[in-house]
Amino acid sequence: MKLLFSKRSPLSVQLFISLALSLTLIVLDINYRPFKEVRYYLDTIISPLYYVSNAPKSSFDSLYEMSKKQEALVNENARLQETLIQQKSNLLLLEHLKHENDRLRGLLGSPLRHDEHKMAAQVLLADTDPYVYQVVINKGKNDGVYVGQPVVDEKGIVGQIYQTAQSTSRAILICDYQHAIPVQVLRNDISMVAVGNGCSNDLTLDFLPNNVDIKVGDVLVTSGLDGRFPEGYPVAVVSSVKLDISDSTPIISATPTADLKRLRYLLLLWGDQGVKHDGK
Amino acid sequence: MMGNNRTSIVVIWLTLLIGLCIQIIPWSTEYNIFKPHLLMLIMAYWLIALPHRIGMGMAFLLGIVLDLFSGSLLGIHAFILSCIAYLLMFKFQLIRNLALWQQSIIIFAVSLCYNSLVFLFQVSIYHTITISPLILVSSIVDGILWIVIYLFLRLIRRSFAIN
Repeated sequence: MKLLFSKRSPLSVQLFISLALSLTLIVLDINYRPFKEVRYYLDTIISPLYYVSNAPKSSFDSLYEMSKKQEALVNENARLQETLIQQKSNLLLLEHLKHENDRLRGLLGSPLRHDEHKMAAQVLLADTDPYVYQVVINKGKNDGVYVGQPVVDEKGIVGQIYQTAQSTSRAILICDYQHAIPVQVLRNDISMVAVGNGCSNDLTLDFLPNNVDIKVGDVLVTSGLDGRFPEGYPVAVVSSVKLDISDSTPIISATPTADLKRLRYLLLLWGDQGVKHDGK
Repeated sequence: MMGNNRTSIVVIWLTLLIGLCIQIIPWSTEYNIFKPHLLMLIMAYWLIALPHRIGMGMAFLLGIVLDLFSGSLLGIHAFILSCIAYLLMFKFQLIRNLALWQQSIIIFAVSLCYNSLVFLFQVSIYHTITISPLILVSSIVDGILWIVIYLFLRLIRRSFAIN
């Protein structure tokens, strides 16, 4: 570095070298796959700084927790207990339905669905770049996180893991311009692809037949055709259906069910990669 | 003399590190358009004040670090910060002697350059076009913030006698 940028070399030469180096890096990062390894190590080196930058927010949160009165805490606890009991009773029914479903699938000869292993993760850093919609979470390769792993929250699909480092990883949200996810309409199983359109806009639905049975309010769930996202998780709700007047193709947009602007706690899913789709 | 030299390097790096930490703190989406490029401002100050201490290599390194944090392709911010370093170091003596408000207009222009380069890279690599006049807003914030940063860092520079 000292030699390349020594004080004697003129400014324009320095500029030329810097620009050439950064362009090489950009091309390498786009085209050369083993370069991801380098990036993995660099990400691991800088990951402690995420905790530093997250410190003001987390300490503010913990201060807020500490300042709560005991009465409020007791009330909150009671409320949570109540919801827990309700959820548990729902789960009892679910267990029964699951057994029934497994038996029916066994009769039909289609592969059984397996339970996913789940892990909670916390968001360390949300979008810093206005054109990239990604979050950094506090679980990494050491926790078994892999690239392409689905990320959900309690309302629906959030995105998937994009890069991993040793103790942190980066997830791309479903509303990012680069992201697309195969979905199907819950009502009639028509499958299509939901493409991200920036987090301030809705998702755009693509690869549609010309006259498609879809209406505002339809729930879109993952179809599992990509082999990454497990089938049946809610993704979005159709918000508008328009018709392109020139060639009569439908233009459909859908609002993500997960609250992508206020992410705090997420769930990572370890689906069974072998079970892709129950077709055949 | 040697000790002074070392402190000055430590102080410069420390200000840059703090700038980086503040820059990567997430802002809520509604206010994201106002977010200033604090790291760029601090780098710009040291480039103008002490161009022999921090140079193109420093700008390049900071860009790489910024790329890692923002999750963009490695090299985009390095490219942009190198360009900015060139623009500032090319006429650092002129900029140094300008009045503060004139400097802040120059910083506004540089920041506009930054924002539009980020946009151009985005368009050319991902082919997604989102034109927003809002990139002007963050440049204006940068220009105004420059006055504060300049006075603050000058105070630091004088109290640690860095030259």
